[in-house]
Amino acid sequence: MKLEAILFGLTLLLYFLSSVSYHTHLFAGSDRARRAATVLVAVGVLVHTGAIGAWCVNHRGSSMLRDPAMWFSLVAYFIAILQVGMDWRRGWASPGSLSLPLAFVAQFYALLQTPGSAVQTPAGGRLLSPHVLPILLGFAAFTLAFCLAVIYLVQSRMLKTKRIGGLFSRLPSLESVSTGAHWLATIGFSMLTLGIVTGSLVAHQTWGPGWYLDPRTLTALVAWAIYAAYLGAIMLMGWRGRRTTYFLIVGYVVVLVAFFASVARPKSVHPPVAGVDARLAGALLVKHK
Amino acid sequence: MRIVLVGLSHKTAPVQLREKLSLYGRSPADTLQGLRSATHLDECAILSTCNRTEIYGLTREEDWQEQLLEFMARQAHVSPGHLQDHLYSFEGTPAVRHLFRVSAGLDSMVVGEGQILAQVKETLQAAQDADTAGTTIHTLFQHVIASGKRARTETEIGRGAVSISLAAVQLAKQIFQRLSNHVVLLVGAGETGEQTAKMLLADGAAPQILVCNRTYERAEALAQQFGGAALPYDRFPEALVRADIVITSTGAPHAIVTVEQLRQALRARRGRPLFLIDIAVPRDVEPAAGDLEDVYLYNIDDLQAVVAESLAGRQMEAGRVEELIEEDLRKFQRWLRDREVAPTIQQIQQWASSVVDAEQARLGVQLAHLSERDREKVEAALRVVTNRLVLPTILHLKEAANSGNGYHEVESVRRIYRLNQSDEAEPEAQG
Repeated sequence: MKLEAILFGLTLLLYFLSSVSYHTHLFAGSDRARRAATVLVAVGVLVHTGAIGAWCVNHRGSSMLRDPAMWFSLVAYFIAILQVGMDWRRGWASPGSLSLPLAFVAQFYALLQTPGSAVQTPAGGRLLSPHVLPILLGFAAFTLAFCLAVIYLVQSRMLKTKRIGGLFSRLPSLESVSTGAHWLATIGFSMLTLGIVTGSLVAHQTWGPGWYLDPRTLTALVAWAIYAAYLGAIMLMGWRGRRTTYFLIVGYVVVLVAFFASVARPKSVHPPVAGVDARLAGALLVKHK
Repeated sequence: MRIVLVGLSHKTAPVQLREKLSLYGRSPADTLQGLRSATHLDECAILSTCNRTEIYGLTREEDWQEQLLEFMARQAHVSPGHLQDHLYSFEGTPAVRHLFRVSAGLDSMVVGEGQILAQVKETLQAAQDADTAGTTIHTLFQHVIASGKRARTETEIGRGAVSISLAAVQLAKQIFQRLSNHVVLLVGAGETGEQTAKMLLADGAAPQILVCNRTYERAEALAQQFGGAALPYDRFPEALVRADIVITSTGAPHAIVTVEQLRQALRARRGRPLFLIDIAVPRDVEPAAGDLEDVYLYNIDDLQAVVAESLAGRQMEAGRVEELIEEDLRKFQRWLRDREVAPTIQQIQQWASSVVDAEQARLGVQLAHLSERDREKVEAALRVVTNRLVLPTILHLKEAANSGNGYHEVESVRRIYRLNQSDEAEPEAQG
């Protein structure tokens, strides 16, 4: 078995164990589980780095950004890195119980892909990396922002209904969750903007006029508009609290749709997200017609 | 030698007696030195808090209880007979276990309170400064402090608020990231409200506190006390826009904060969370206010429920802490046992080796005709024989140590091998 496959498999296992540990900490209050989760996800990131390095060595001459299977792996990678950052800088373990399972699912989905399913994307040249990489990083940041939005709503509900035992005490304060989500959404928005700008340059060169009618491009623009409205509401209108979290949840749903749009619309100028296993992605998200 | 404890606490003595024995206002070093000279304790430490005074010592004396009773009676200026009724005393493992339980907060008035751990650390520091803490007391306290920390990190014994004011502060911290960035509005001048405001300030709450009271002079006095600003009573609805934490504790017979007032304030607040702490009875805030978005309303019953839940949670954790203590206690006992028998075992082995050396020296000339290899064989045989001869004694000592009887067996073995004559044994303790 290739070293690359072993490392990706080990990464998956570490993300799974980390997810379990984060849940054990959140629901059972175990500090040992919390420490274990932090270590497991950090080791997971290191092993994942090694796996990506091994992929680059094994596929010399080709870019991982052309392989949609690797997109999922990179999204999982970025989610895990952001979680490690939050845990380290802010001491937040609770978002890990949502973000790490998502990283696990993304990595699992990447491993489901048939080897060599790389698709030759029409978009190419030097602008491929500045287009795909920010989009994937932005996707990861929006995922974490979504997790924090869910935590905000759950915690707000618990405060309202006065169920403030156990689990509640292990959540960060409402205000810090909101601030963290804002910070992540700002990163995601910046990355999405960069990805859209570079993507439009590539698309204009490659497909000429009408490129913007691509379903994923249009959905990405809708997501961009939602996050722009979110940031505007906070920075210009001074909005805070629950109402801002709704933007993050709706925005993330649209981001997901944008990411998987080419599965639903195979004629997209973008490559399908799941290579030859697009059927599986379709079964998971939207049924093929 | 054994570890002993004599003390009194809130469970056995009234405050009038506890305060007489408290170290507060006295020099811990002088008291510890006086204790050691008066009682012949080899090592000692005094744990003194508002709820307990306990003397921990290491002694060989049989009448240690009488010695400590007399010392404490002199300190408290009471008769030993009067004091004796309020004292408890333990020796060996029960004394050590008691200190572990105290450090974990299991013996505290409020189970799991965290201050005791700092006080145990101060006790050790004071004993070290006074030079009354030797290896045994030092190691005992190190184990106890580590166990106390472990109890608080690995269980939820220290979690949750245990008073109305603390419950309010805890909830405020669950809503707001830094209390210092927020404005607190105190409406009314009730005692609990004032106490809650003090707790918020002590926890780093708003640089400015707004005080609103029907009597403006009282509001001004309170505001001055908190370093905040007073507001005329009729202007408090305006302050609902500025303040993020509102504490109401007026004596008004009806609600003074209405849903309508809050709706207006919320429009200007643009979603900023508002934490309403209604400590008044009858309630100051209309109950329907709790249904408004971004408003978190807690009345006195809600806060009392938080306190009750915390206390119940701590009681439930007590069992886990007891298990953890037993685990840590075993570790300390293992250390103590090793310390108890290890020097003697080492001396027996040295004695056996010296017997072989002496015999070799005596036979040196007679074995001169043997080759180097044969002489080595003879030496090896001698060592095997002597080691086998002392092995049952060593095993017996180890077994005795494991069964907690090491102290007596060590004494017997040392007499048999005459080890006390050659050099002084290190102090051993029984835990």
